[in-house]
Amino acid sequence: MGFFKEVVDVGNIPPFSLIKNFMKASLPLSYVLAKNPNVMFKTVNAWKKRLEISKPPWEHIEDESKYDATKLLSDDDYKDLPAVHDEKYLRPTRFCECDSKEIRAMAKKLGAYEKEPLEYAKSIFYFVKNKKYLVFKPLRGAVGVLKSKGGVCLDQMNLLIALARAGGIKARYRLYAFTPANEMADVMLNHDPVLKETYELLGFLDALHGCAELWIDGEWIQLDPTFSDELEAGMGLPVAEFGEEPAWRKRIPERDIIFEGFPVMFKSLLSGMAFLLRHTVDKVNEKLDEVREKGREILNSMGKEEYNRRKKKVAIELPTMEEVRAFRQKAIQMHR
Amino acid sequence: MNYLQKNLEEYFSIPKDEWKEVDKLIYGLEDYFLYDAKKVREQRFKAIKEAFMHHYENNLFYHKYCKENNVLPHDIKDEEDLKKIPLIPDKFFKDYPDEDPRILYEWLYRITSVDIGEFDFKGKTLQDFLVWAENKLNGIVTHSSGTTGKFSFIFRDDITRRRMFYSADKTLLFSIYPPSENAHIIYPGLIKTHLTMGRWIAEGTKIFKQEYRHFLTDKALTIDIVRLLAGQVRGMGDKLKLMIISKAMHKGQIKLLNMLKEMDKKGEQIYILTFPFQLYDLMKMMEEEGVYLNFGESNSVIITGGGWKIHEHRKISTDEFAKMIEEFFGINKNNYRDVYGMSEMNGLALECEARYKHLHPWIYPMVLDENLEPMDFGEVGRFAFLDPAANSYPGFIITGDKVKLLEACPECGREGIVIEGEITRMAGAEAKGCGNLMREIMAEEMR
Repeated sequence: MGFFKEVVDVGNIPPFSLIKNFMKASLPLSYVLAKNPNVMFKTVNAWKKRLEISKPPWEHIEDESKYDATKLLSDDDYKDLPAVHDEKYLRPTRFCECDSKEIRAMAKKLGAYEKEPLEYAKSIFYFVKNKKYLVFKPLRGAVGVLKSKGGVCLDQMNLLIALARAGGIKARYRLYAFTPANEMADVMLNHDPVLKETYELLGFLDALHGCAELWIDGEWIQLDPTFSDELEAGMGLPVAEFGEEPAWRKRIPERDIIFEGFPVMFKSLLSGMAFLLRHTVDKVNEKLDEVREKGREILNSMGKEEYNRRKKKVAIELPTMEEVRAFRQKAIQMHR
Repeated sequence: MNYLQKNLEEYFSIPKDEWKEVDKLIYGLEDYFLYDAKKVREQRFKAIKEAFMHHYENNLFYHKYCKENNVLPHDIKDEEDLKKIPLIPDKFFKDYPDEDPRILYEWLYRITSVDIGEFDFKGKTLQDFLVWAENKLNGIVTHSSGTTGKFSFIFRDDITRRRMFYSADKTLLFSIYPPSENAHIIYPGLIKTHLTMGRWIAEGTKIFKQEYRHFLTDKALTIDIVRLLAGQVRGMGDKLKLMIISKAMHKGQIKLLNMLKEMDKKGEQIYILTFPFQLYDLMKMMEEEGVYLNFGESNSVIITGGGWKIHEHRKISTDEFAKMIEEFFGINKNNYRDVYGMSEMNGLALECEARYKHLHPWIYPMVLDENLEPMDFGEVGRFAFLDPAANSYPGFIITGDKVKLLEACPECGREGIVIEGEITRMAGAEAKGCGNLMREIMAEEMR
């Protein structure tokens, strides 16, 4: 890999396509915000609320201390921590502090170097998916997510990738374009005029979401821990298990951006959006809590297995061409 | 029998010796809304059972799907058992892995209940492929608006195509007020497209002589331009084509209005098929220009379909809409009807004068709860149906529409299960349709 590519890959220069995507999104967003001044008034109130308690106006101000996962760690978990590597895809990068003692201790607790890589990958995937929640707030990095309720999808990726690297599994980021499934759009976009109209102008969301890629048994496995089981059930979607494509979005091919380290400036760009959309984002976070609560009730009442059985009863698998040919041949012979 | 009826028979009928059970209803019933209910119900059961057997025996994915759901043809013994037939979500038709023509062909090969033969496609674009597929099936291929990032493709073979258009024409053109030899058919959209409504209108209206068919423009709306409108931007070439189409449609609208004035003067009979908001826009334009027509005396008919979708905020009640139509077109409210159809369904629900939508008798409709279990008549839920007229794909579908079904119309004496009130989209269902896309093309010129 050339020097320049490497600099981009570790995130010291943001990929050009990423900057282009942000620029492309900023115009429609500004237009929609200008069209909806009442939303801006509410946002100003949200800023004031934060300034009164000496917080930056873009900050998420929920008390998240009860979600601090480091409280689950005992003193023993901090002993004999896994080694820190300096190899590509194993080393710490921006927001992926796989060298921090908290991340390494959690990796150890979840079975790093004890379990087979695939089993360890499952443990960290379900930990991030179900113990950390999707919360729209500025990027905090892997440790920040570990110590709080959760974070945006990209921050959840930070934690998953950091745990993977701390456990000796190579991991990297993949951002892609997608359209939300309608169930997701109903929860996150359709009830808010700014998000709805911006999305309609954009047509799809580009490079604002992605998945973690873990190198296991000679191949990159894509994992998306963004939506917890409860959130998926609350939206009426099947609960995605390890390795399954989640049902809440459809990917648009050929627009992926892959890198090892989070690009510089990304945090500022997202904080800028959080600043502009503070009121809207607060409402989305409230809605997510409601949906999770609904999902929790559903899963408690019938169990995940039964829920998924009902949801997946319409899951259809297509046979191969050869199987279809053989089937048709047999049908012809039977009718003769 | 006038030339339109002759053409209807010639283009869309199936020889009687080739009739299946469902054809006895589609081609055998004189009136789709006045019949012996008991006999028709029995015939519908036979038709669905036969169709179920056909798909089970000829479609491997459906065969396996039935086995996974533990339902086999011999389990269907009476009408109550029809509820057991495994249903396919409408989203299934957008689950193709890639838009590359070969991959799309392979997907089609694997989902159809008829053999589509070998891949001898020589074209380059997806648009060419759709044309090729139509020729291959001797049928009709349509796609959705693609506003969720992926198109939904429906491939109808010759048999399905004939059944669908025979019944649609018979219902829309001959059951409200029969058209005379000189009746004009008008669709204020474009038909050189595979986008559902446009393609349907192109096919269904071909029973009219060319000089009696009127559309906004003869420009083509390719799938690449549709993709551009859906936000999946491609090159400048398509953007340019879109601008040309948009301009042509605007010109077409003015031309259409002038043409309507001429037809009004001559007292000619017209049939307008349109999306409600397209007609609404046209009437707003007429209001601005002070144009008030009188097509009532010529027994003209206006039919809307496709719903208001994302233009919900502008939606007005059917009665108010009928009043507007009476004001601007002079057409009596009984000659204005709304119709409900689904891109996967080979049957319709036509409004009666009391505004209840009567379903075609071969369609077995259901309303499902959130766990996809059937509910009773009178309850509101997700619309699903068993459509025995679908030959090339299993027409046993779960839709994204929210409806309330009644076993019989409480107002008129016609037969058929009816849909009462507004049809809305379920949470999670795609809200935009191809009608909205049409409107976006018009809006494109103003951007």
